[in-house]
Amino acid sequence: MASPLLEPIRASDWDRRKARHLLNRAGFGLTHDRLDRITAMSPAAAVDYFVDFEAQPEPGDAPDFLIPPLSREELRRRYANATEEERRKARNEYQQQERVAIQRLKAWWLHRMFTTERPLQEKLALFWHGHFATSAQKVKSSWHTHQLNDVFRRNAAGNFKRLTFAVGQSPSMLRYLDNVQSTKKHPNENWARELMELFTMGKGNYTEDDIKNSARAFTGWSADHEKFVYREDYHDIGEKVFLGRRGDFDGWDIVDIIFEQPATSQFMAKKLWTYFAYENPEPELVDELANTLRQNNFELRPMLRQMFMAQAFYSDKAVAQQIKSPVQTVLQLASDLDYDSPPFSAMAQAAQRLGQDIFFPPNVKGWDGGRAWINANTLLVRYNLPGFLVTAKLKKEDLEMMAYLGQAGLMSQNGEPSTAPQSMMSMTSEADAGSAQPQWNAQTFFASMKYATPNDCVSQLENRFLSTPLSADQRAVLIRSLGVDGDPAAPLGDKPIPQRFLFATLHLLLSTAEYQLC
Amino acid sequence: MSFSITRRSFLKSAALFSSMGLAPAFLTRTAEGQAPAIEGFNDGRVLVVLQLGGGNDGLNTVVPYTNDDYYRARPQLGIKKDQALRLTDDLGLNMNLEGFKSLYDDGKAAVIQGVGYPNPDRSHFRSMEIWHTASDSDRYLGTGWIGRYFDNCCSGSARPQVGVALGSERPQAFDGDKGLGVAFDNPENFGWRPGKFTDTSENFAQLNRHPAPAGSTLDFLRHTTSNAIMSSAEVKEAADRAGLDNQAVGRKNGEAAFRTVAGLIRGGLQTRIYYVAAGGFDTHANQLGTHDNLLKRVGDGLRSFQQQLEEDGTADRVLTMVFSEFGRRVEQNASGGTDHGTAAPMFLVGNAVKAGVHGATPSLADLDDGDLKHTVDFRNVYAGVLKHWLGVDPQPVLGQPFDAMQVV
Repeated sequence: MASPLLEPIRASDWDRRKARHLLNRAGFGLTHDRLDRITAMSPAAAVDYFVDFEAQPEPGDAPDFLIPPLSREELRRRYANATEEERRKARNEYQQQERVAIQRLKAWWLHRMFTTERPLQEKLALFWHGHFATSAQKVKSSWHTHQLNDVFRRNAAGNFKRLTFAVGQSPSMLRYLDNVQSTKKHPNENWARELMELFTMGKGNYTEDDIKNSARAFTGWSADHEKFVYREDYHDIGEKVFLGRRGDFDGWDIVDIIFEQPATSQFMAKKLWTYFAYENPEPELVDELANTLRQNNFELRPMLRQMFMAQAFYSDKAVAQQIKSPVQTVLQLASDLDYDSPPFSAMAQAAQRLGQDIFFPPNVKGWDGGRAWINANTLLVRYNLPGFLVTAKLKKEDLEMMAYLGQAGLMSQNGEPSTAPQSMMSMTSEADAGSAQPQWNAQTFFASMKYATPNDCVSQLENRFLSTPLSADQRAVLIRSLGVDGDPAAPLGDKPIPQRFLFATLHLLLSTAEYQLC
Repeated sequence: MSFSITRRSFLKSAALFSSMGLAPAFLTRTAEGQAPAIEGFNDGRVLVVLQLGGGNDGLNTVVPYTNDDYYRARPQLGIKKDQALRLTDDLGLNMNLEGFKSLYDDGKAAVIQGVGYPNPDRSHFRSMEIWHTASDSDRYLGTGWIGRYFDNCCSGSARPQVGVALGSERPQAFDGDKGLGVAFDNPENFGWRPGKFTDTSENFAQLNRHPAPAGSTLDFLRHTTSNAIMSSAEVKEAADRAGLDNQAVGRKNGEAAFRTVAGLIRGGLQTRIYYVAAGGFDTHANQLGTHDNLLKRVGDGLRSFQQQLEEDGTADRVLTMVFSEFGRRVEQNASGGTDHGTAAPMFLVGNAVKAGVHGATPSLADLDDGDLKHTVDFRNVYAGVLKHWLGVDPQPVLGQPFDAMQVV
């Protein structure tokens, strides 16, 4: 029997709040003019707009700064006559170039998320990046990092099984989980284990022996300098026992068998619902979504459509109950404050400071998300970041602070220096030189707001920035911070609110728990 | 272990460093008098954990300089016999650990040999997770050993600043049911910064004081906000009392973080456990120069930290423990480095330390697939620190009975 939770939402229930919710979750909440457009649609048309994203134009800005990997032969040829010192120098230079390229790739991706007409495609790419996590810290290649990012984008709402194959055969994953060196003599269990534990079935649905046997099956899945290769001489052709089946399985067989397990559709349905809607979903809801996924041979679109249409997706359990991810926080902040072209590398570093360093997930589990985004420090950074944007016209000290904000995580989890703050530093000096550093134009922002009374002013700010309403007490604090004596319902007339009070109030509004939710 | 700061903030901090030494000793006593005691913290004992991220090469840190197998396995990388700083008849310290050696000679440092755990995991994150959660290598625990210490042994304290990690992330070791412990890079930047046009701090506190339904996400955020407000205020006060008001001190960089920790202890912050991380120890290639620099920073950092504590009169209260998630393989590899290995030495520093070499040095003739076999389980060291230094029963913290090593 169908769960009422997955009954489609009625057209008569569609309103601005629900449209905003869809915008926040199926995209990054970037309003521009989208909110009006989506509110005016029927719910089914709105969901189609997101899910059938290929109808929208593709942003065509492929990165042109990636460093193509060199073949072993090419490397040998280049350094045949080099001294050890020269090789070391070349290697250091190369690594430095790679670090810069990865930093640029972060900015490139944020730019894409910010400007795309296909928000769900990028939101899913970010999901897959956290799901099939690989870190550039180990992979050390901008080329392979982008290659996998592109796999996520091209398969974002496609077929999950096909995506799993593509990831398993990407040089980035092959290197990250060490399958490149997996031979019949020394099978490496890293990929085999995570494939089952984190990527498809979840813990408890297989044994240590299943891991050992499937690791043998994946021997030979390797990579040359730029693509997947199957090394037949590495492969263990012996018989394996896997999830109760017996045969001389190879990697392709293992993936086939994994996708026959009910656990796989359950695991993915639950994880996707958690990412898009809410944590700890009802079991019957997961069952039904998993069913949809299986019946469609792991094509994701039917299930995604079902999710975004579901009444449960628009319930109080879902709306304004999710903690924005750091990426969502910085993108939404820039959009909320009407930046046309925010400083993307600074934003990438701010997101890092908030706990999400894209292309450098903390480990193969990706980011835990939810409440794990929040600790005393990251929360204060969340509150301070808009303060710098709102109250500063990006003066030198503020840029220094931005640079500082971007500097955390210089040491990543396993302790290597992970990123170079140079790009931020050069931005600082560019700004010093009076270059075209994008500035937030507060004048325009407040001029575009139409408010007649202090009450109106707070309501306008609240409507624009928050997905959840403030209490009367909180509104009173904000009205007080506008510096208006007397009746907050009285027209301001020819006594406009001084700008410094507007800024202070805006910063306060953005320094709330409410603003962390979407 | 490097970071860039702008020239200006560097100059600013340099100026402040020079004035830091002037912080009068009575300030320390005053601060201690002022700070209210929290339960179980009457003796004021502090544990400082230094994490060497990336897998420190134990064999080139504590060198078996009489062992031919060592030199056979490491023809280029081996530390020469006449360069090693002699600890015992067959063990010497890497020559870059001169700072640590002076502590050892003063009877304030211990080396624990061969520390690891059964069925070692050579993945950085998994191995680090094992050290943080103190789990068996085939088990996953949702809480960290320090978090469980807070949960079990800090009753009556709801103060998140009982644990302080210098850096942007709260270490997994701090995870517990009570969620105690905070992380920050720099006391100066750990706080809400009101706009520069009007003073809105009180408004900020009021906005975030508003009640929310118990257990809701909003409630969680408000709770974390009030923790942040409370801890940042206490941290700032302690930093101010200690004269730690510059921009550069708190960065995750090892030495700077140590200066911050010493300052916060001097300033009377009632923190039981500090966590400091230094990275870069993943030396797969060209290990020689890199590892030298890393060890020099560790050794010198420990020595100057201890000196600072002694100047401040707080040294008797502090124990420092140094670990890494694993050591390196015995044999050097083809690219002048070493690959992920297993057991490695730990260090302890402090006035109370039972100085000397503890544990058995793993054999170089009896290897496990090219790797050292551990002789001491790291949880025996944790148990020793918990029992003999922090004065608590290790079993509820570690979840299993482990003999407490006599390290202090």
